[in-house]
Amino acid sequence: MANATKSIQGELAALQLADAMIRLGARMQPIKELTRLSTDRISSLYREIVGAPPPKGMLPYSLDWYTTWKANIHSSLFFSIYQRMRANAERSIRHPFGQIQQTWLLIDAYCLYRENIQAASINGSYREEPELSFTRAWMLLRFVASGQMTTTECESCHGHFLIRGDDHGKNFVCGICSPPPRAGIGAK
Amino acid sequence: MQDLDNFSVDTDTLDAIREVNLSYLVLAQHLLQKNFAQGMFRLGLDEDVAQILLTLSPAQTIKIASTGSLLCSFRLNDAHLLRALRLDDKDVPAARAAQNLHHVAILLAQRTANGEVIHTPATAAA
Repeated sequence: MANATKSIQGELAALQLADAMIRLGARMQPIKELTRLSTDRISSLYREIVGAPPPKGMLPYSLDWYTTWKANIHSSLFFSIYQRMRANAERSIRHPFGQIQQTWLLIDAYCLYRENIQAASINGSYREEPELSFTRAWMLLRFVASGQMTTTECESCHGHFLIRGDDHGKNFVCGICSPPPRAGIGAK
Repeated sequence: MQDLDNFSVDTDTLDAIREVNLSYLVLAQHLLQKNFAQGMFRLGLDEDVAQILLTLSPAQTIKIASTGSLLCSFRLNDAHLLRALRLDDKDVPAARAAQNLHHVAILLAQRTANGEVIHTPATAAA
């Protein structure tokens, strides 16, 4: 869809994607890459929706972030949702599966992730915050595609969790089956 | 000696089942209409079944809701999985209890309606 912005309908589809991503807190880079809209166009849309210029600076590039306790659970949750929805979409013969559909898939999966996080806050006074930003979710898919991140099976619950691509993944026990000693103590 | 009443049709139970079935079908149709891909995920249905549910008329919906059996099943139908959730674990900090809830979501997302597990480490390039 490199020429998505050459037709009005193509541009409309790209703007709808950009609109959704901006509302989910995405940075410029994923929006630019997934919509092929110009930086100026995205900036203007960003200003209209947020009322401020888009943030500048480096992307969160750390692989190790995804392996820390809470971040690993959150990103594994997002990735499970994404994988399931992707498997559903790929099995489908009814719908074409181009760049726009793939991006909606990412957006839909990310929304469901956020919804699950919100669901975990309802009980009591504790408030669970989404650790995984849209930009980090998008980076994760790139890391998985390039083999820098992969998944392995937890020996205890048999769920699949994210690990670094250079980790052998043997004898893995997930952070929920075996939380680190002080995990969640003194949390906000 | 069995009381004869025990053999009569239990209409309260049938009504309760029909009500749950109807609520389930209406909710399923609502979720699929709102966002088909997300609806399929939430319900754990495959596409063909989801399409059929979506095209049921109100009369058809009421008709299949009126069967004597529950139409929706318990998706955590795996003792091993249920044990892994440590539902008896008391006195865990709230932050850890929240992660236990995510456990349900992760394990449910990774299995299909018939219990098959998918975990193909992605060809994920969005």
